[in-house]
Amino acid sequence: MSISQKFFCALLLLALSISPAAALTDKKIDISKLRGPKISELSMLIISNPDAQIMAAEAGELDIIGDIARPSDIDRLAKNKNLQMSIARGFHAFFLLLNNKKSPWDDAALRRAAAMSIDRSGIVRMIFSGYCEPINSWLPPVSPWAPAGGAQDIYDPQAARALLKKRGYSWNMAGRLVAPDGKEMPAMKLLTPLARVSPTTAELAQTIADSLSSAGFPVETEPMDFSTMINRLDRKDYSMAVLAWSMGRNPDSLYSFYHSSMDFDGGYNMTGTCDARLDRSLEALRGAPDEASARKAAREAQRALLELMPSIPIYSRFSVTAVSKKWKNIFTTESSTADNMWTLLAAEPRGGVGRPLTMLLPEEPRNLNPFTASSAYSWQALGVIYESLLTTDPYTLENMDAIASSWKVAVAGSGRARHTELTFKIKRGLRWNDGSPLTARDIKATVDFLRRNKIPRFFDAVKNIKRIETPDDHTLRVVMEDVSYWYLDNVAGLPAMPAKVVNAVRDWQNWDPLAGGGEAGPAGLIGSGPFMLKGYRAGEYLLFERNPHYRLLEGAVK
Amino acid sequence: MNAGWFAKRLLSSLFVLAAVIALNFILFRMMPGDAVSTIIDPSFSPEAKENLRAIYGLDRPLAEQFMIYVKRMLTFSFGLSFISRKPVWEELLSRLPATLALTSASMALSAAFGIWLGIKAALCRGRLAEKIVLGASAVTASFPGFFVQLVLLMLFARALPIFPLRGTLSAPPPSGTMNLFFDYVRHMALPVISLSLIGFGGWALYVRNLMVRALGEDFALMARARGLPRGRVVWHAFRTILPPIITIFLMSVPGLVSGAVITESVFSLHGVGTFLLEAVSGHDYPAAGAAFYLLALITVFCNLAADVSYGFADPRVRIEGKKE
Repeated sequence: MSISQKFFCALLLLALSISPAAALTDKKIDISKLRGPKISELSMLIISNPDAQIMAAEAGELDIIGDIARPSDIDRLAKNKNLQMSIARGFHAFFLLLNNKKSPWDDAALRRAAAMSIDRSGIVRMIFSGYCEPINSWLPPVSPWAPAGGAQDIYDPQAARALLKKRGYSWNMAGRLVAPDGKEMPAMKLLTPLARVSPTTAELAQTIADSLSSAGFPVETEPMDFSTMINRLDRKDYSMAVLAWSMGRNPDSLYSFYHSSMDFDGGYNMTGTCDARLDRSLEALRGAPDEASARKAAREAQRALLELMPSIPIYSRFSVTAVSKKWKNIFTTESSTADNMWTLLAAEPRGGVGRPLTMLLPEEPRNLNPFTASSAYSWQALGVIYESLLTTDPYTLENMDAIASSWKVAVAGSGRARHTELTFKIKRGLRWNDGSPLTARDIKATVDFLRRNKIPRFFDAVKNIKRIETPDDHTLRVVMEDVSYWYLDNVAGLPAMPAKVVNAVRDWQNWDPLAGGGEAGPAGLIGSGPFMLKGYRAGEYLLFERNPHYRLLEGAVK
Repeated sequence: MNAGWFAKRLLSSLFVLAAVIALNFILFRMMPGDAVSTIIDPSFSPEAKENLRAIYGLDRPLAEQFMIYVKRMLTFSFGLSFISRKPVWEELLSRLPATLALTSASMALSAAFGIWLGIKAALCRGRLAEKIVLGASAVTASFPGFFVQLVLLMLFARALPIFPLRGTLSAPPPSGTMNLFFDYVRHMALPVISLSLIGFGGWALYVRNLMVRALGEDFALMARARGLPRGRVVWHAFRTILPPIITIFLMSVPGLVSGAVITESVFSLHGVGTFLLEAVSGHDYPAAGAAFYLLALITVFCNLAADVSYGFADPRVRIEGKKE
């Protein structure tokens, strides 16, 4: 049985164990034929108290509650007969960071021995009640770019001991490691956020410290404020630390975290990794001209990481969502729980009684200006209004058509003038939610606006664009300054806005689209997504109605 | 109380405010990291982070940042929030109604109920009624606020769904002004009741002690000996304890605003308390600076108001003030 088959079986068992009705949509749906939204209204209810969120789901006030993290909450909701659970692999990954510039972690063998001394399966079982998976890769196993053995638990204390012995280490009477020069290994601090802020992370850090201590590494946790911890990581004033982050589906992030050029105060290379071979493969990955070379470089980079072990991957959390049984056609895949865009398109109330679908919004979005909004909560709302050129296939996590019907990545020029050219064919007959036509010129205007104003959130996605051309209303050609396959994702992921809006925005920082127009810019959020904002009451709710011009509506553009 | 005394009090208040303004700036800058450094997102390069720092004005010299900050505090134009990119003043104003409704209603309720119970307990010394008041007050005052509120939420919003679980309005809100008003009252009832429940015990214990002492004073014995009705005696005794009650009442106002953080979080209310929390945790300097500055203003104002109101509540202060 392959690892992915093993994982699928484990996931299925877990899903069945949390609820007999957990299997929501087990048959594969042809998403190219999906039409919707079937619902005419969508409501996002703002509930910031995690306990009240669970109670609201139990009481039927919420139809969908996503990203349930606490195992006790998952178990509680799974017992509710009015709810069905969906579980999927997530993009979250948790790491033990090691300062590769400081002894003893400047020795790769020691890092590998430490990695083999941590019982990840035990952590998954004891702390997370099985709602996550152990990992041994620097990309979450759900990523199509992750290696095949990414979800393996490499816990092997005997092998770790053998490796340490081979390196000349021994153990004193107290079981503490003694270096080849006869010196006892000094005590090391493991930085962790405060228990009252992140109780699970603090508990996890303690478990890791205990695992390492039993292998001979004298490790103690040092809880501290999160900002203080990040500040120390930025300055590399640490020995060990625990940190989790949500990653994208692509491996390009590896460059930021492990390339030597990113090793400076405040740079993302917080482990201080500096290895010529790894650098070369990461450069090849970043500058890959096409998918095939990108895959090859990604494999090489991850192989190098496995040998170097600059940080220790620990686990990746599953995404868990609870959905009211009053709804049918809830869409889930192995990598996507029910709270996704496809569910919003396909969901229909059981019994055919039309009513709004109510989703949880865990925090007040505070900012609905698409240029300055940075929180996940703002984009949970903006994400149903705006669309991009391409979207992600929920089954394969590969690119699929959205505003663009087709796309091409090509390398043009030679020598130093060699560069990537992206060509997108825009679907015909598309309209913005105000009924005006959507053309390639709108996309050009959006991207030009983002480039001209160096808007921080989109800066990295557009900074390498040399020029944009629109040979006709349905063709967009983006000429980049150099070569990289990832430019496709950067450009294709930008939110599309009408030219008449971006051209009318005079002060993007102070623009408040909900304020009814003003000197800074025009009123309203005009996008091409499946919904449009109907009402918003700060701190209370957001109400959306179906975009009557949405491309996937029955009878709309095919 | 005279003009000289008032000017002195005013001056010292201004000094406190100046110190708060300076400390607000220094302490937040002394905290490690800023609103940009905690972003860990590989799609947000260090160059993009520098752009963001420039937009926030964090790339300017500290002295320049301080001058801008002081000017903003003095002119009440607190700048744009780092998180929402909206004027801080507008955001604070939009959140004020929920906090004001919550704190003023709960404060009035807990003070009125607590004072009434305290007087009752003082009048029933040694009896079962006093023991019940003392016991109930001690229990409610000693339980952590968030615990009491969570229990109430579970009992009266989930198990017995009398009150809503969140917010100040239903989604979508009902039509019609009266329906809207009743919907608002229904949503605010549980937070107000819970905050009053937590607060009344302290009042009851405090007033009971003051009243017991006041009723044992010579003037109260004299009044009783002269055959004054019980109500009149209690009223005279109560008047003598008014100044400390006023002080406690006014001094608890700033604490209520900052204490609203927990209540607003538990009941998902869009108020100043949660604004303060988000501002501090997100290193949102303009928002945090403004919120703490306003809290300091409220504190100083309440202090001053307590001093001034002494004169109205206690004739001795007025007379001694005139003598000075």
